Amino acid sequence: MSVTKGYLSTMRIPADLHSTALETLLARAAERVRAVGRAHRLDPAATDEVFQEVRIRIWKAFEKTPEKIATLPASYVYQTASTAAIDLIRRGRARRADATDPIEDLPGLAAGTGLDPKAIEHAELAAQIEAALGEVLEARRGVVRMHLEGYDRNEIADLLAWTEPKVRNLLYRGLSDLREALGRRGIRPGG
Amino acid sequence: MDPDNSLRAAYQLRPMKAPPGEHPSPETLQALVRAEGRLADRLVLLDHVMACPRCRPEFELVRSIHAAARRDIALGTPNRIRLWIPIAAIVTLMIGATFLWQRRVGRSEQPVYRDAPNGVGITLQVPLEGGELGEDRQFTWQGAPGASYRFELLDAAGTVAYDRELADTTVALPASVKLRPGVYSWLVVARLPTGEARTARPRGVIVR
Repeated sequence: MSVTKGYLSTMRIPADLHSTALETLLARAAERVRAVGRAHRLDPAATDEVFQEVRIRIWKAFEKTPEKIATLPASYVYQTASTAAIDLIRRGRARRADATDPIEDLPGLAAGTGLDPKAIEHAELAAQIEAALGEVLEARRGVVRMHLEGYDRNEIADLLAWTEPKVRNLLYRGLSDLREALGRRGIRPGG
Repeated sequence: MDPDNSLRAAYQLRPMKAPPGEHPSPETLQALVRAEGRLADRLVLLDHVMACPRCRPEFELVRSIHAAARRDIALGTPNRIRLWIPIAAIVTLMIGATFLWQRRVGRSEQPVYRDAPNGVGITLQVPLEGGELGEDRQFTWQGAPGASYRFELLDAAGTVAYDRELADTTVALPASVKLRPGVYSWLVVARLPTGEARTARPRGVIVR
């Protein structure tokens, strides 16, 4: 059986193959992260940067015992990635420290640019939605935003450590609040 | 267009302005994805993060790593690999059936023991090689005195479906670990009190 990517791969492994084992482990973990974040516009460059940092940290940590690298469980790689991501975020913020507080758009979301009437219409509607969201209960608003951003109910449930029915219930109420608030502004979604 | 979809489309096209108030620290973002802290605080934080052009990409990076780790360890099998599982299962079942038949005909039905060179080893017990995972979803082995263990269950592609560090010589898969039907292998690595590691040859196990 070709089931040799876990601890199996460490048995009788030549020293020069430790890097191969690590690369396999890193590539798999990085691809999983990209797959999760792809739907939510996670920047692939950020993932690459994190795993480059993970690579360096693991090599440093096991400099004297490289034979242990191939025995690392996936959980160790993810834990290191998590720590590396936090450091990366901190460094990114430090680099931006001199900049003024941005009034910025996310890439690809430059609503209202140009003279496309459709884009202007979308931008006006988006502004109304944002204002209407302000009337939704704060405890529901984050979940409603996640839904509108395209996160599915299971992702929301995972994040909040809730059951999916609980998310569905809260979302139902939150969206109902939002529709009412939009209705007061004369907006009927889909209409 | 579905009303919900039209709302989503319009919302996603909005220009994002940083909401008032301080941005959460990276550690706070991490606590959020780990569902740590008071729920009321997390919901308020979530509202900020989802609306904030600075925090949202940072949150997504941390969340993606966390979610990928959970999926990889508890469930993870990439879709393209899933396509090959039925084929791998059939081939392995044929090999396994032949192997079991040979064992029944020609030898005893004792489990295969793989001791370490110095005689201090571990012996996998249940399930037997090529056997089916029982309803109790338990794996048992005979260990060495004072040892701790790492248990790994791998799918046909070698992806870790479940792993755990423990001191006991029995592990039962938690209900949260959902396994697709197929051929898996399991192995146990023993850490002896001396710091040395010992392992038994991995075994195939069939999940129906």
